[in-house]
Amino acid sequence: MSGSRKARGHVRTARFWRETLLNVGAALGVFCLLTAAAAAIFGLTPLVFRSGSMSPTIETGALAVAKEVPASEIGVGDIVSVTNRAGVRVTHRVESLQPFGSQVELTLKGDANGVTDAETYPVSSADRVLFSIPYAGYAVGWATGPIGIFVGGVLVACIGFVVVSSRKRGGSRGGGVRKATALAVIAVVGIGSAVGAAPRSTMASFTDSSDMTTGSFTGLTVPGPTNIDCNETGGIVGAFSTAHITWTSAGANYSYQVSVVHSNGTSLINTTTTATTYDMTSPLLGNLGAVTVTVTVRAFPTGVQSWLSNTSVARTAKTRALGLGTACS
Amino acid sequence: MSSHRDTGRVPVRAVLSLGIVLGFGATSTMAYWADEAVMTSGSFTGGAMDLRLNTSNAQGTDIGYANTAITWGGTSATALSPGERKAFSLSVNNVGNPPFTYTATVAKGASPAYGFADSALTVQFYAGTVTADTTYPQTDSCSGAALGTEQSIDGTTKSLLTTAQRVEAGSSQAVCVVVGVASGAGNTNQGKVGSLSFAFAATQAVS
Repeated sequence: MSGSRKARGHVRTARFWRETLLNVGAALGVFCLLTAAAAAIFGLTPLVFRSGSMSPTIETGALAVAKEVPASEIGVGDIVSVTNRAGVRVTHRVESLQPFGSQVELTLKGDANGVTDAETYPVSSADRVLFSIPYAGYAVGWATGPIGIFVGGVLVACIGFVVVSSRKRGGSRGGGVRKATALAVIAVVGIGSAVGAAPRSTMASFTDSSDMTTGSFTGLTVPGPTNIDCNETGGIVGAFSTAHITWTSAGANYSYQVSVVHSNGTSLINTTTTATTYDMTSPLLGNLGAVTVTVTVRAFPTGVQSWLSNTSVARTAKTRALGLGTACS
Repeated sequence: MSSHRDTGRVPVRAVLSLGIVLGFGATSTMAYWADEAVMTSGSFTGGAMDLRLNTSNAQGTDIGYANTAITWGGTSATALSPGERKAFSLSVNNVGNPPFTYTATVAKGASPAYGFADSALTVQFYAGTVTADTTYPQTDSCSGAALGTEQSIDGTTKSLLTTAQRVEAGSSQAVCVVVGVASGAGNTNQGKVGSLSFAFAATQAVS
């Protein structure tokens, strides 16, 4: 007696759970189908926010619904969803826009970002966010993930079992065919709607910028040579000697430009040397008399003759008559 | 009899329940054929993004960072002449939550007043660390490959990275900054002073 009451209790509990499950399942199923159908009919795109740069307006994990609008209807302050050059969907607020032709070039900025997006988006249309539901994106993310797909598969299997077992218990054959037809219709409608209403994941991409200034850079100031001197070497009784010009090095990395200028201003010699000495040759055979010249030495970084020292050292010297050598003066 | 009616309704409700799978779950598989990336689960990113240079706590969002370690020429012994270049280490840190890709640009610095002629200084980014050259002429190099082309500093902003560089959350990238004097720089640049201003822009990467 008590045993059969207990058994009846079990049956009642099982039926309660089955009924609840079926009612909730049917309600959710209808809701999903209607949503999918509405999305397909009205051209709505669900957007799942995978990051939070639109915070606090739209937080990470929110599900937003967007509707495609032509470029001409987009205004500053709208939250729009566009695809960037890398093919990633970005949903940010319109900071400014610049029409060109039938398109507009959008400058977008996340509410939580300090700077606008690095790239601008030329679009002829964009998905404008109508409203958003906090956290709902997590549910979509879960439902469309591996676990969700697995659970969905299990659900299909369970329902299939319920359909089959209930038909065994009392359903007529005709009823089974009707149900199979209904199932097929719902499947087609559902899949068709799903294609149109697939949730797009969107980055409300975070951006950040950092600036860096350096210390100062100072270009080299080429130091000049110092302490120029002249002494005569070689020669016999006032002829055939050589004016030997010496100076103090400006540093290990420098070479020297030596110029010899006639007292009348004519440039006579222009040469370079890595040494700190210069033996003045006498190229002045054309000058029969003795000529006074100025020898000027400037330094430059070896290999970069264009950078001459501003300071120089100079020493006067002379050529001997008939080109018979050079001498100091 | 009531129980018989209940069982009669079971298949209808069961079939309607399938709508969950069809209208919701099936989107994931169907949508892969669509023209763009669609929802895949498990990659939600909250928190904040933060690109910081050199140290993890010295400078954050939008705060100017005066990196006085990047300098040369305080004395004539360390100053550069045309054709010389000096390398500096810089680390780009991602101390935020999401991974990011960043771009970098360089322009003339505001202080001290930029005295070099246009195109006298050059800047190039490399990967890796500094390989110093102690001989004259000084031409430092870097252990890694070039990240961009050598840019001449003039009145415009120059891009230093050929492709945006990705840095994972909590990671950093070693960048080797090479600053030099162009070999064709004119004599008027002797003794001139200037600094450089770098801008790093990070955008959240899609994982």
